[in-house]
Amino acid sequence: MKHTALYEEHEALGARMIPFGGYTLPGWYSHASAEHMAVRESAGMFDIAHMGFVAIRGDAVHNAALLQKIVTNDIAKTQPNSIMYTFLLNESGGILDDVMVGYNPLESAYYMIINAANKSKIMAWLEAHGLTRLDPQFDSHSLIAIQGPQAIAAATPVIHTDWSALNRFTGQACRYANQEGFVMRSGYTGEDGIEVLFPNAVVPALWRDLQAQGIRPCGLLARDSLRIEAGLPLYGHELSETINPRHTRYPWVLKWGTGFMGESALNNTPVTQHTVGLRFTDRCLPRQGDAIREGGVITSGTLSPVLQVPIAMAMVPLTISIGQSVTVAIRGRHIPATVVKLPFILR
Amino acid sequence: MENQQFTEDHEWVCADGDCFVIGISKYAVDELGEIVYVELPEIGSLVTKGDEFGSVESVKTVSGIYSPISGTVVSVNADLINAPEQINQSPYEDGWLIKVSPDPHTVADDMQSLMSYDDYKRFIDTL
Repeated sequence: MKHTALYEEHEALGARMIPFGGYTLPGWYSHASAEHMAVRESAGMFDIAHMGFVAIRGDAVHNAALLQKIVTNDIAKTQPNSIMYTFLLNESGGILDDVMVGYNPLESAYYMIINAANKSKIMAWLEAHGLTRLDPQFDSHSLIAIQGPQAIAAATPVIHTDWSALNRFTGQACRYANQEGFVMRSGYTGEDGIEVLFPNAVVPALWRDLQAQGIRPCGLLARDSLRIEAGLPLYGHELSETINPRHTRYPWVLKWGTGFMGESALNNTPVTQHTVGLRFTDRCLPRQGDAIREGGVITSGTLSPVLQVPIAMAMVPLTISIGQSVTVAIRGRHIPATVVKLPFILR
Repeated sequence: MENQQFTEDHEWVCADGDCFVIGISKYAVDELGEIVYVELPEIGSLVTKGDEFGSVESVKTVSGIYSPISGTVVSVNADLINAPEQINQSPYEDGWLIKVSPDPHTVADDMQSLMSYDDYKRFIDTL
């Protein structure tokens, strides 16, 4: 298990460390539900150094053409400095990863943020498809996510950038302690916020300075319950090489007729399922793999700190519709649930 | 904790008159995080030393609870059904799980195999 640059900070804060994607990361510091609520109500921050930020240098026009062949979304959306959500599919239409792809005009370089568990797979995939001058920042830099309605106000005294120019899903240069960094107005919580990339050497001091502004350190359990409330997918749960991308909540990232990798295979695959929410009233903890009697399976579940009830995401046959009551087998019990629209929390 | 005896599975047991109270240790609670669901046996059911009689569940994981002694369940902590966080807040008092009337034939052996608090502390240092 790899340690991140913030490992000693987490230990000093008394974090309960858990394994995730090949890394040892904070599961929680004191109370996962309180960390969750800090993000919903004020500001929290996460060590997301396990996420793989790779700069794609070299000729941008050439790289744009190569990238367009392997992403499903329209690479032109990254101009002039935007970040785009997309899938990377294999030839048979299976999801290799879901990534953010952006363009940094100052460096004339594309960049991609890869899920921790998929880093080596996707790096090999990029190389196999002709992308050169790949510059992974995996071991030299760290990403920190700062999320919540107060996230930007709280980070402003610490991180220097042109905040008024930083629109949602854009990225730009920033500074901390005379170090160049990169800031993106993005996140994985359903809240406004930023994700920043800095060299490892300054990251512990940055973390402490952000904490001094009242931004609460949050662990992976809060990150998971926040993204489930927001209906956001986690690779290995809502997305995988065996899940049809048309069964996910993101069919809009598939740009039909552009000849994207996997398109012809998907054209011949019927759409039979969709991704929905389940809301419970009985006390339980729905988990990935729990079967729904009427059909389908739970992909993620948690106890919602905001709604104070168990919630889950599920992939179910199209015959199951919003508003319907279903029964879920959870550890030998048969528990009623209502099918609801995602997300659970509207911001 | 001087009166509690511990198992390697992180349960504790403590004499209470003719009966024994059973719960899980602070160490177990800290490993689980916030407990959100508890499954406990019915009053009158039999528990056997080393066998699972219930479970505690946090968002992180589900953990079986194994009885430190054999006997008959005479009481369960019904408050935990709607307030399982009591186990986090007070694992050795308000967070107790069940009360057992011990099997008189096995209770002496059952208790002898358990650890004192000091031994248990040394045991968890090795984990």
